[in-house]
Amino acid sequence: MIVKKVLSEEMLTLAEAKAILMEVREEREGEELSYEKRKAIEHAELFCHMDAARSRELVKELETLEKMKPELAIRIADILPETRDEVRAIYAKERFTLTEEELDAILDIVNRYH
Amino acid sequence: MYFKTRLINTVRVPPDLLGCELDLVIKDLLCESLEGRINKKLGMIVVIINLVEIGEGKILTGDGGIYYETTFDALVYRPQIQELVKGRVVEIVNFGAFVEIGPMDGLVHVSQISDDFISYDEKNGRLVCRESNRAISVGDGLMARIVAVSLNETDPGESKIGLTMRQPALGKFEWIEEDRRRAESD
Amino acid sequence: MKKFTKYEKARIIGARALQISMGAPVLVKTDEMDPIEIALLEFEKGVIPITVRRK
Repeated sequence: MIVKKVLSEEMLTLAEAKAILMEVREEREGEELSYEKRKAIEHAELFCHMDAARSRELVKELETLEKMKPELAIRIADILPETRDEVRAIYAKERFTLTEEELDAILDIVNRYH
Repeated sequence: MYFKTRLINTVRVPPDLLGCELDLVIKDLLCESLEGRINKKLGMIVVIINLVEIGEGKILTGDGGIYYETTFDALVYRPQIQELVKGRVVEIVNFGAFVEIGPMDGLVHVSQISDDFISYDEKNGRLVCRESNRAISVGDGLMARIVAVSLNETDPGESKIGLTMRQPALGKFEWIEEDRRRAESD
Repeated sequence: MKKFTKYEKARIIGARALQISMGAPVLVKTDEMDPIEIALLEFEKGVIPITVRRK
């Protein structure tokens, strides 16, 4: 075990992780960042264009829906699905299936944050 | 998926660093020893964000170092089975495509790219579908699902993440877009 | 200043001398080179940053 104890953890959206990575990059200006940090930053810059606070708002709003789990809300906020099929793909391994209305409700919320 | 995780670890501060500011020294030591490291349950510790608390230093017989039990927050990346991820192709090899999905790369094996027969176009560094003539090469963005995770604690670079694109709404972004347009025009 | 038993005193000076020998910054002004002598000097002045946890 590389650490002695895990006290608690919270899930982050990609936007929140990106904000942390950017802060670290600024803090350690002049140092060369390690390979995996550079990769993480590259990936986040490419696939995330939302700011952290807004992504959290989106997650909170998604969590008001039924058939939603915190984990799914974060996945949706990271992927920002544009079609029913994409939402279905996110829900593919869940035990609940969504009706078309429920799929559209999710897309409606996501759309407002685009 | 990324997590912000609160962890406790014991840090040995060597005596020659005792004159410096303790929290900076401890943070540096933590960054050095933990960043980029992997724990099977936790995932990869990407960065140490900040220190929360430094406990009382303890001295052991026969060791000039001082041991501080330190509480800190870290940014952790944990690839989870069934997770849907966006990524960018970083390397094409004859058996598949390596895709950057965060601090780590995943592999889409040739058999998991599409239902089509895939051939390796070595000259152009592409993987080509025989029927549709679709191809993937370095730099392409795509959506995939994590189907296998094997984290290596002793050698993080040897960790393997298996991806698939053989499901609806997965694949290269252009393919998804094309499929959607086709579906709409039908 | 706290009173230490002779055993505690030996342990503190020993630990401190080891730290000094391994490069810890010295907390008194002295020309002394022997870590044990330096630790003794520090102990007399009461500047050693070590306390005893009695169980």
